[in-house]
Amino acid sequence: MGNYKVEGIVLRARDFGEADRVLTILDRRLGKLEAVAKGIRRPRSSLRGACQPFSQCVFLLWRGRTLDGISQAEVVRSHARLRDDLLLLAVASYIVELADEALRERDPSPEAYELILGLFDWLETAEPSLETAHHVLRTFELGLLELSGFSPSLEACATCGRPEEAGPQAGRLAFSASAGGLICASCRQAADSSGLILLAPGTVKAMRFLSRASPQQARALRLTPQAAKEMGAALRSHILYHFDRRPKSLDFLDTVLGR
Amino acid sequence: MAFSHYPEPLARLIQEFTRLPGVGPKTAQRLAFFVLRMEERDVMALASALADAKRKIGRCSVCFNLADAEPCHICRDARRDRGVICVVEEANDLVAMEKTRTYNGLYHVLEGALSPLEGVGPEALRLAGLLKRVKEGGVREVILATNPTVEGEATAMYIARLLRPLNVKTTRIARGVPVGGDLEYADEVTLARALEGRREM
Repeated sequence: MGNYKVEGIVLRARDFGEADRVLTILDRRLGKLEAVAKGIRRPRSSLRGACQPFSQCVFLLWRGRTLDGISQAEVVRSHARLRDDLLLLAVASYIVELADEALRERDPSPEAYELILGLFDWLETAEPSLETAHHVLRTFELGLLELSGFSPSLEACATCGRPEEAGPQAGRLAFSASAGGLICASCRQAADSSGLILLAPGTVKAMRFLSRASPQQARALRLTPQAAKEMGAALRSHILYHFDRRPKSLDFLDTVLGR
Repeated sequence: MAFSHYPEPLARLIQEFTRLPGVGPKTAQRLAFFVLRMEERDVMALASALADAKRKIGRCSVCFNLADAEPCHICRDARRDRGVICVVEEANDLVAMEKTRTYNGLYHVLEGALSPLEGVGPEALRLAGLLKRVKEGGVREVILATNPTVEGEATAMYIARLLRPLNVKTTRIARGVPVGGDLEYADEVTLARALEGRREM
């Protein structure tokens, strides 16, 4: 009972009542949780700096009847750069929105925590560029889909289960969001071909790798512009098909990425 | 009906008061009883003030400030410096800037801020008007005075990017320790910013 401590990443903060804000925090041990920061919108609140989205902080929480509250907060890493650059902000916003959507409340997911933290560090330390942005986005999408069980089928045909080869001799493979992943030549004829996205074998191999890679391993992978582009198209259609609603941050992301 | 033990006109008044922010049923009852005890003249003045405010206040077509005339009193004021535009999120931010009594330029009210997470994009803001004003010439400086929140920073960065090709000086208000504040209780991020933006004495 009483107070307890969490160390988490602030996923988002929404205004609540006159001067309060409700934070969604992703904690390493407890998973995603919500807590109210009382009086945070007043200029003299000492919580303000720590409760900015994307920052990693230690929070002391009190137990409330419906919602727990924040009594103290201390910044571990503020990730200020993610809020000071339009491109990084767009990427980070998309990451937290999708994570918030995919993760269930109070369901521990240390892997998701490490993934997001690793990607934020990557974004902060790399030279901001469109290539980095795409690389981080694809790593995140594949990692999150894998963690939340929405992963596309990349080893075998999503319809009949026949293994799909991605060797150097293999031709281009077809990806179907409605089927849930790769789809083999014979199943392709039965399915409607309108939503098919063709992927080079190298792209599929990179996707398999990124699904299970840590941010550090992912960063070491050299992603060709072609692979990044194909992967982006396949994952975009997969996410839009399998998530309940279109991510709100997507339009902003596209504007900043210059699409 | 929640207030059925009151005579109908009183119940209606209470009901209407509960629509106001921060007013629950208890406060609404107290306000309604107070209105009954007021002089009729004062009640009429209150009622006409409510109706007048709603009917006569619109948005200035130049700066989108709240105004009862076209253009607003600030845009009309000949003593103001027309070469500087201060960009704020909402009309009440403009009032806060005015209270400083140190700013003598014009304003531009965006009526919001970019919020990727809430899906508020650039098209929801009054940006076209701002660009038009800058393109028309005569503007030396645009001061970005959006809030120091994620949304406000994003908006400032976005506007700065839009203005870059127009060759106008674009500045951002400083961030730092509040006057009368205490360094010990300032948060790390603000303090770091204050240090970055230090000035020579």
